[in-house]
Amino acid sequence: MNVLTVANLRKSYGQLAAVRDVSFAIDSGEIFGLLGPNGAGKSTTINIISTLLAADSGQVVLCGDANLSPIQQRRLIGYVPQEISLAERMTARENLSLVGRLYDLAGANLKDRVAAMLTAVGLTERADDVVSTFSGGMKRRLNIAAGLLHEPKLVLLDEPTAGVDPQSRAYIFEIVERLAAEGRAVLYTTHYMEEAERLCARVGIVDHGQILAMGTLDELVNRVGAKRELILEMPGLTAQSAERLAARLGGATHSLDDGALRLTISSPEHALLSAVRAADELGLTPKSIRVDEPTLETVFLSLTGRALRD
Amino acid sequence: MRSLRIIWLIAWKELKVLLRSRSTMLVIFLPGIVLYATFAAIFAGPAGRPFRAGLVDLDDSPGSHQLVEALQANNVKITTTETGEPDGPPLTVESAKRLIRKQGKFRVALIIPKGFGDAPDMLSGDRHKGVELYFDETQAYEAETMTGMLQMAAGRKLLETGASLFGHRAATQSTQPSVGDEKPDWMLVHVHKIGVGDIGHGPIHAEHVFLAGLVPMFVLFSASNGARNLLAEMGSGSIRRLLAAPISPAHVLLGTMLYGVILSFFQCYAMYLFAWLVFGVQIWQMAAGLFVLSLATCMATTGFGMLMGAYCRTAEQLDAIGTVIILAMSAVGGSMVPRWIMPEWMLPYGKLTINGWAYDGFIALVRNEGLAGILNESAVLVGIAAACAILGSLIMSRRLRFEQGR
Repeated sequence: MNVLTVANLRKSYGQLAAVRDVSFAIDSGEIFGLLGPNGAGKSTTINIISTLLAADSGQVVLCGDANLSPIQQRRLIGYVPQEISLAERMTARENLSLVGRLYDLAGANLKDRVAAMLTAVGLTERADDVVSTFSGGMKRRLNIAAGLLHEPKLVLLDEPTAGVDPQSRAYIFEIVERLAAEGRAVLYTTHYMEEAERLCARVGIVDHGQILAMGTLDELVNRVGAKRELILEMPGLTAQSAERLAARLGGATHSLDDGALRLTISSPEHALLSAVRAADELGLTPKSIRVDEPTLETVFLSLTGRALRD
Repeated sequence: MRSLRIIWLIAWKELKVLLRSRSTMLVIFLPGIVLYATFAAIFAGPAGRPFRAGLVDLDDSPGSHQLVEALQANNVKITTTETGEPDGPPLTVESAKRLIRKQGKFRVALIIPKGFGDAPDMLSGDRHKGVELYFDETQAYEAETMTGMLQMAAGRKLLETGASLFGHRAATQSTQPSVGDEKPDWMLVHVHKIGVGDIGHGPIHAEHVFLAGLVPMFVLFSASNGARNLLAEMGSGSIRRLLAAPISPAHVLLGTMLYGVILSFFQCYAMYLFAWLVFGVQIWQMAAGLFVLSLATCMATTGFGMLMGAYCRTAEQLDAIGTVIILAMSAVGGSMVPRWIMPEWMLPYGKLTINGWAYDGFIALVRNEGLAGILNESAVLVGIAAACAILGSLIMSRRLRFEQGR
């Protein structure tokens, strides 16, 4: 049974369709990514799922029960907003205790959960320090901890690494992976493809409120026909030389772009060796050789005609 | 030259930023104008603002009429009915005493006894009975002012009738304040001064009056604190953590208002304790009433703060608009200037303010009227609290639901 099932979700603000017919499902132990640029509709989708916003139409089903009240739904959801939602003048422990009490945790159970969360996000030593003294990365980690106190079945993470240093980002990735390992369903929104590629079992590419494509990375790559490319940079390379080189490499599909020869390949190891040998035989000296794996950026570009960061 | 240029550049940058912030401009320029307009309305006008006095003329003789006419010629506005309207119920001694204390329609009440006209002044010797002058102890000097006016009026009367002034000072000269019930030989009309009300808590001084006025003003300023914090959280988006928890917007709003009431309540008592410790204001002798009135005031100010917050988009806007509104309310409501100094047309507006009701309630407590004496004021304040809190919460709740999806 899927922990989360979203069916035909729609939400408009006047003339602007923020979410258009969005459907997906997430199983327990799965990290599902919503990848898209700013303004694509990711946060609106998360806000609807977390019951903060009412959809115009469509359905959100949690744990197979379509009749849960918003309050009941919120007990099953751990929401980690994009904004740091912490009381800056309270300590980390006080912040978590406050949130825990909102979810009716109390007494020894609350104390244990707070301690466990502080350990999980690596803030035990700073537990009794005021949040205003924390770095951005530490605040983000505490922000995540606050969303997990009540052991939710579904975790919604809305761009949890925004403005965070690389070390804290790596820490957050570990936390997210641990959540899936514990059997929680995770919905992760981001506009960084490398995050989606690292963390997500499946990704939904979102743009203008619609999911344009959805699946594993391989499925998405195959869907748009994105291929691996071997790129040889040889300034001054002529079209003729490029044709001869491609012919030596078995007639691979290729293109020449400002001194860079791009060849579509299947096996990077074999292609690299062959390319170096063929260039040498033709008396050509590549300035650089690299293999470009198809990425979500490639998929997004293929689907939308523009780069993810445009 | 370069230094001057740089200095001007920095100043110009600050001015430019300021000009782009309407709310900051508002809070800088408007309060002064509002306060000036209020104080000018209170104190400006022709010199010798009419002195309001109630009159019960038990003698109703040519002599008493002449005294009254002379008083009116001296810019004393005489009221002979309870409502101040010609067709209102006539004033009696009891109703006059009540109206001095409660409603401030006149500052003093003059009772001319039967037989006054037969011996209208001290020249008549022992036959002269004098007049009774009832006054509010919180404004004791009003009695002195009226006494002086009576002497002037009597002197004018004497001059008009051509009576001899041998052995007396001319009525046109300033009189000296009288003391108690003595009969100084220079007085033309003997005045029996009678303070209205029980001053069992000791003399009523300025420290009581200022406490009554300033406490509601300053709790009003802190009343918008809760709403301000809420607006700041809505602006930053950090409110969403709260709204995503299994609670309702009503929890958030009520919790915010409870915080406001608690904060204001402690603020009141901080001021009361200071007044007790430093100025000897006897707060413990009116403890029960003070508790009830303070709680009602804090509820009213907090509810009002929530209502103001509901109509403002940002915390900064609330600061700006709130400052102007609170200063205006405080000026009209008696927090800065006692209401009995204000012109008559301004007096009813004081009752449109939380300050006005809180002020009257506090003075009633100082007058030892107890819980019964503040029932009216407390009920009105709680009513204001309920109305403002309900309306403010309805608007805020809708905004919170919209805010959730932002």
